[in-house]
Amino acid sequence: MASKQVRYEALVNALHADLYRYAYWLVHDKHVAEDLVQETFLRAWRALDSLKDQKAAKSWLITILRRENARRFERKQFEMSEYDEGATVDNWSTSTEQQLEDHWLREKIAKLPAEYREPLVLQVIGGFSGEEIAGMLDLNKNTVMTRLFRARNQLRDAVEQDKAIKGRYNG
Amino acid sequence: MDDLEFRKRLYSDPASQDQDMIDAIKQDSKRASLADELNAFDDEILTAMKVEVPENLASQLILRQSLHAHQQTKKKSRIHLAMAASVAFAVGITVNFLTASPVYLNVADYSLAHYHHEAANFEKTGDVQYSLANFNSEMNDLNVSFSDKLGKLISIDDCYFDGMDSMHLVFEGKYDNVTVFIVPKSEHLKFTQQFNDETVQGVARQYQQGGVIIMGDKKETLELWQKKIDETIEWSI
Repeated sequence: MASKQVRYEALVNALHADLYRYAYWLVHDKHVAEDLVQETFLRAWRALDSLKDQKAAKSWLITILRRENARRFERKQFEMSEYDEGATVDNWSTSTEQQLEDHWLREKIAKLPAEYREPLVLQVIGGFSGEEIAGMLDLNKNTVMTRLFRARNQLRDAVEQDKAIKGRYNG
Repeated sequence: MDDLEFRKRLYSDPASQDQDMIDAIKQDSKRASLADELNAFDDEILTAMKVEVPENLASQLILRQSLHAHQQTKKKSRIHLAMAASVAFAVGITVNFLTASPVYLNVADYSLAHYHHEAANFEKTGDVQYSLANFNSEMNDLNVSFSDKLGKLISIDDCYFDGMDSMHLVFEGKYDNVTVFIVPKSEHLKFTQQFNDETVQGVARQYQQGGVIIMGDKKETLELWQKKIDETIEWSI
């Protein structure tokens, strides 16, 4: 019992931030993301004995979280809320340049189609390889790589466009 | 690797450690600067993606789990308690069933068994001094009384006659002691008017409210006892 508790706490401490961010980018809502993480860790606790490979813990948790999210949709069939600006940025007035920059990019990331965004989050935040992402999302690796390419391509295009607009204003 | 292929591979995984990608970057400065750009861009993406994690989320997760685990334990101990209670209940029922449930189907078999089991406890003769009132008060529970003394009393005691609260009377007889059982009305015991085995004989009579079984030596005239009881017994209900 005690060692299970220790394992659990280690798991929470090591992975809760990544898991929360993954959840956030999945659902675009701070509170729903938090609930999802809570549910995920509760389920993880119950099934902790089945987790043999500690290295696989993160993908295991993400799989649980994705399943929880799917359940959430079965339970309440509400439309996923659109990207909510207020939820990401709390204090415009005290924002630094960097925060504004982040905010801008966040909007672009949020506007990516979900099927492109999800593998990108898994790769950038989760640090998963193409194969691992393919396994988690139940896709083949080529599809995942194509989506990753498109995700970055769209983001880069958005950046270029923005620069062009800024350029026009400046010039 | 052509430019298109390189671009595709780079965009899908800027940090790729595949040897052909590393070689491609080394061999071409344009490709190298594109790779640097993409990696820098990835850093920006990462920073942007790192949204603020709610304060205390980790402690909340741990707290919620320990509350949950605590409740589980409580639930489990409740289940254990309930299980223990069920087992105790089952044991109680079984014991009760084994001790109180009828094993014999007729009065004759049970009476003989009871008689032989206790026969050694009683003297052949005796004359306990008693008043009729005292005697009758012993019978209160059975709602039975007698209008006259039946004979020389050796013993009077409550007894458990095949699971029924009954009276066990032993009187002095002519040859050996005479045993009288007074039993409440019984649903499960079949009354046989006369019975015997190698050593004893018995007679039984069923009244509306109960029954009387008389047992004694084979030479004893039990009919006289039965007649005497018949004349003096009074059932109050």
